[in-house]
Amino acid sequence: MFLLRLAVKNVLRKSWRSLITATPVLVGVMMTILGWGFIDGIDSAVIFGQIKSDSGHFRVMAEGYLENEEQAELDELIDDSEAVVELLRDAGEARLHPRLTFTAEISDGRNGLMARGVGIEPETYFEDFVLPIESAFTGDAGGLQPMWLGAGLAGDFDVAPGDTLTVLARTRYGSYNANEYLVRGLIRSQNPAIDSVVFFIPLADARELLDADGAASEVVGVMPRRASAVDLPARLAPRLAGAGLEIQTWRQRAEPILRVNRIRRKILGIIAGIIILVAATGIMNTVVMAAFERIREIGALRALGLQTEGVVVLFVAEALIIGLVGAAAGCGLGAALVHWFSGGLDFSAMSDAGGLAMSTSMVLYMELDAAQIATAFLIGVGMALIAALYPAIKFSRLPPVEAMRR
Amino acid sequence: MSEPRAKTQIELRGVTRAYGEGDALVRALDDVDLEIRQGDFLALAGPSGSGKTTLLNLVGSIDAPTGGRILFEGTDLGALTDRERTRFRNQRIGFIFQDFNLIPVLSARENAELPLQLLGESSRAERRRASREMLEEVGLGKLAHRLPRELSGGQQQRVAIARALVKRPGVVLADEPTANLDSATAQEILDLMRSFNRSLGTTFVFSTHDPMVMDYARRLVRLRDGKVAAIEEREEE
Ligand SMILES: Nc1ncnc2c1ncn2[C@@H]1O[C@H](COP(=O)(O)OP(=O)(O)OP(=O)(O)O)[C@@H](O)[C@H]1O
Ligand SMILES: [Mg+2]
Repeated sequence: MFLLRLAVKNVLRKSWRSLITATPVLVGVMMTILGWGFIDGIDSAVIFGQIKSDSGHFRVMAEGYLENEEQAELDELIDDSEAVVELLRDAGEARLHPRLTFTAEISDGRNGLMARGVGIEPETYFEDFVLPIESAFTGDAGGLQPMWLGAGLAGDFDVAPGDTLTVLARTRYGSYNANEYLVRGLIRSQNPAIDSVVFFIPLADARELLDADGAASEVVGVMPRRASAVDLPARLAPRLAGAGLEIQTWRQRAEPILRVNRIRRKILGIIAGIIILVAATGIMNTVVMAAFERIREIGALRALGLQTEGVVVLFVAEALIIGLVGAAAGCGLGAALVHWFSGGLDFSAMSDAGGLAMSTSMVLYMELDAAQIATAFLIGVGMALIAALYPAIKFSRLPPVEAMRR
Repeated sequence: MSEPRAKTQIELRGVTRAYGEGDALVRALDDVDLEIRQGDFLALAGPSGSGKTTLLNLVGSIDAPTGGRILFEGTDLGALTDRERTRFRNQRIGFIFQDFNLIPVLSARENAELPLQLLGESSRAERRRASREMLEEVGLGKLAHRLPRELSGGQQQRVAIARALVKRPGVVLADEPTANLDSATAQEILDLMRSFNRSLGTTFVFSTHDPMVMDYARRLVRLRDGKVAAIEEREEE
């Protein structure tokens, strides 16, 4: 207790040096928190943005659909989507959406564009997915089937709600079929992969267009909590395999991104490690300097009855105080910055300039995580402790006579 | 006064302290026999390098002899472990240093309290009272809150005396306690030491080059080349 008070006084006495020593600890801890927050933010933006606007928490498809998804997506369809919905009835509290996805050319009579059609049940689908309808047509449809168009796609055609477009697609059996649709609304989600290429039509109309009665590409599930989807494959696999179906969860689907982020975490770990090494060197240096400056003081204290471990406690406590202050400030600053960015770090301008069509939200939301902040804090403080220990022990072993002679 | 000889407190028997080896061997103390008596006011004199500091360090058990034995009130210092020796110093010996060696971040009173703090056996209130009283006794009651750098050299050495005596040790060892002080202040310090020597019966052993300081001693031990050259008993003035 007395040594602790003495340590505080010594740290305050050399406040300038203490601050300089605390700075790299601060920077290391802050960078660690920021880095983690940033990577988690990428997780959130990319993966969770994808879940909310497009992929849901899991999807069930006919076996073989995944291999053909890119080229011949109509080859492996679920023939009876109602039966699959029935089969999944007890799969958690999932809300289920059969969906029929296809490639089509849309045209306004002069220009044509390849786009991605998705047949859905609009009443429930727009409730469960975050697909804000920017402007809607409320007038008389005149018997035309409705369509909702990604805002980017609409911009390419210069069409507005109330206009009509023709959709040309191959049916399930390979022949061409076309139909005319009334644009009911424009969708501007945060997901460019939707806004720039996708149009939605009612599932029944899509089935008619593709000559695929009762069929669906996939049945997508939206759950109250994303964690509850993770153990679905294990639970449902036997049942699904028996019906010629397979399941993919959001986590399986996001695996490539998660893998990249794991690498990012490793790189971050190395960078943080280097900063923390610098900080440790600083702490060690400060302890050595303080010990040399106060070597006669150590000698006097030893003569007056301070045991060797008391000397260790004194110098380690001084380093620990510096480490605590640095780590606490680093946590405070890091958390404040993450909090600040949690309002959204907007990369839109950057991606527009680069002409990137990333399939992700261009706004990065960082997340504040108490466990991560605590970990970063402990790393900072633990580092200070370890860095101080060696020189402190070294100096404590110096015989008091030697210390007094300096 | 011709009182009967006081009893022996510290006894050095054939004490040698050698540094280095072979051709470079230096005997800082060479086969010294010496008795220090309870209540002594003893000065160690001798030219530079004669072994004064070495002898004080050995008696103070912050150093250990390479030969011979030191008996301190019956305890063989050579038989103690480092921990025991540290504890022994704290409980039985007071130190006064040439350059005061106060802890710069602690106030005068906290410095005086230090030996009590280091052992931590007494309560906070007891420690405060003892250190405050001790400072009053060295005449610094009003400056108790000051830091060492806010005190003159003489005042700092008074704090050091308070620190040395706060535990009422049997012996106070002082290596050239007045070397950094002007002669008027040096005399004040010596008067203070002698008054504690009389009132508390504490043994004082101090080293010096200064004949004026030697005059204060009741016994004077002259060292030369690590040996006791002469011992002079003095009349008190
Ligand atoms: N650690 C050491 N290593 C080698 N030699 C030492 C060491 N300490 C002391 N000596 C030698 O021992 C001898 C006695 O030294 P000591 O310091 O006891 O003398 P002193 O009488 O106190 O001198 P001074 O009046 O200069 O303080 C000297 O020759 C000194 O060089
Ligand atoms: Mg000396």
